[in-house]
Amino acid sequence: MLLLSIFNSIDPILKETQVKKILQTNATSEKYGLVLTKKDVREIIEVRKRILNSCGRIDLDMEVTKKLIENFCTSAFIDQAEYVAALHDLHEIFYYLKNETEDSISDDALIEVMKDFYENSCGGSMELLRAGGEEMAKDIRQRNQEEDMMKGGEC
Amino acid sequence: MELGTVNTRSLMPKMRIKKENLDPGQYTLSLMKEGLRLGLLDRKDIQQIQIQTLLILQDLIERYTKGESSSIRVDTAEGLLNSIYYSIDAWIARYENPENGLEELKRKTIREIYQEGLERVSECLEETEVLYWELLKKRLEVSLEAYNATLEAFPAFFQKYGAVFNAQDTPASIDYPLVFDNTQLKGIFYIRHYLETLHLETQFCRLFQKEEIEKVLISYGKICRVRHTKPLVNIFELIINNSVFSVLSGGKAECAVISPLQLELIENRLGGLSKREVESVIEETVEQVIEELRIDHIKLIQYIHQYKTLLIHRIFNAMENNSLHNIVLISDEVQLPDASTFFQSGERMSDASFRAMVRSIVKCTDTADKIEILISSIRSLEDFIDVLGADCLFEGEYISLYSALSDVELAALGRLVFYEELRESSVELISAAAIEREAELEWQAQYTAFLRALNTDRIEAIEKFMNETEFTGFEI
Repeated sequence: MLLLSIFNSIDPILKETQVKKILQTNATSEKYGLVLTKKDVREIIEVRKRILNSCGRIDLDMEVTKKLIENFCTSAFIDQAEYVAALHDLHEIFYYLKNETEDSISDDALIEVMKDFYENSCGGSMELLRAGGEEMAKDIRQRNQEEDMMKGGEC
Repeated sequence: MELGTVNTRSLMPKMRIKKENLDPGQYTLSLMKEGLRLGLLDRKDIQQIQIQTLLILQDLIERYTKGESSSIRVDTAEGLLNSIYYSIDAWIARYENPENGLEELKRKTIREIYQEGLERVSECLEETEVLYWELLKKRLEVSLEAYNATLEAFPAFFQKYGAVFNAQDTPASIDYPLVFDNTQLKGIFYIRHYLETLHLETQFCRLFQKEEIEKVLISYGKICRVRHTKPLVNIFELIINNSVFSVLSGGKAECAVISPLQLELIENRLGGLSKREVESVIEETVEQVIEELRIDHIKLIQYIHQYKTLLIHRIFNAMENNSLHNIVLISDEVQLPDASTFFQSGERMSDASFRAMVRSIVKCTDTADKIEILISSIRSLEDFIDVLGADCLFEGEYISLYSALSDVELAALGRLVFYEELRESSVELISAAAIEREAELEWQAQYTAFLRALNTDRIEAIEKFMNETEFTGFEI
């Protein structure tokens, strides 16, 4: 595919810019005792790429990663030892839910919902966050389906 | 990262770009590849172009998602990227000399080129829409379904098409064929080409009376064994052929209707000639057609000349196969009986009435009564076929029913039974194995068995109706 061939060919060039952008988030997260090293960031970018591939999505921006860090670094459930692993999970849940909600929920809204679930209903459990997200996605899909049927009925 | 124009080194190519290496479907990409091969671009140049292209894509994703999402599905992104390249190609491919296109890639940023191309695509969209509405005012009044449906499909196209997000797509149902199509084109450039060509063809066809065009379509339908509204055929082609043949047989150019006698004259006139002589005669005749019809539109004349080569080739083929009658469309003035008087189209029974009738037939024990119910209730061939397939008649009853039908009604059924044969050519019931073959359905098997029991005269009469009658009560 044209897009992937272009994307892969310039990926190494983009990576350094991406690493710099993510390292900037340390300024916020270190207030909560969470810091990423260059190696951590490279790993996060690599894992994010694999997640995007498996979800059949493309993201040319690092805004989602930045927003996930900025929103979740304040959580009392995440400590430095689990920080990188937690970010991997959050990326996976985020892009999975983008697909499952049929892109009908914005990035900001989804991150907000995820944070709320994680902090409140899930008590810091990624498994529960995943399950709760699935339930929400199911409801959204059903609502979308009903709306489509209504539109179809109007025609 | 420095994102601007690519390196400026000597733009004088030492080796020329090979046009055959350029892909019209991915023009700029193939030009870049060719530039790389010849050393006119280096890997860094290519990378810079790619990065700039991805930045445009990033902007487009933001616009596409209305700023709500930075990620999209890969197939959607592919579509957006193709749309970007469509605009870039629109700008770069306008240079006849590809070296100049490459120079433009070096001189300007991809974003600048994209913007210029996008403007070009948008202008083309506006012009094409105007062209469409003009054409619609001049459309031919013909019954050909593909022609009418295609023309009516364009408003939906203009509604769905977007120069920014799906410039490369052609979201339209275009079934009506042109004589010279250009399937290498995509998106709005294809639609413009299609409508411009259709405009030329329409301009020519409008020189003929609509009744003449309709008669030619009917003749063509008879050759194809389909209702004349159905074929996927180009009207211009049929009309210009017959106009040329009219002049060739001493008629007028504006006359598209050819008689059997004229066909004989054409066969006699061309019969004894060499290929070179035939070519020369057709060339002269085409010029005569242009003159007689007072065609002075240069593009139309060029189009006719382009078609002339195709016509000559077709005449050669037809003469070699002794089948001139397949390209000279004869209009037989003899009116054949219209089967619609027997099976009226559009007079189908309601589902409830149909079920009630089937129940009555099943309950009935007397064959004559069954046939009476059937014949008195049914008015459409579709219902007739449905009841034949409804398992409410037994072997001998089929034969009794067929005995009660007229030759035209039997021919109407026969056109369904011998559908495959009729698609190829006419059916010869007597000599062919047609009526000997195994049928798929019970009513069809009983039908062929019934035919086999008839005398030769009767079979010939049914065969004639089957081959020559225009049945309006159903469609093949």
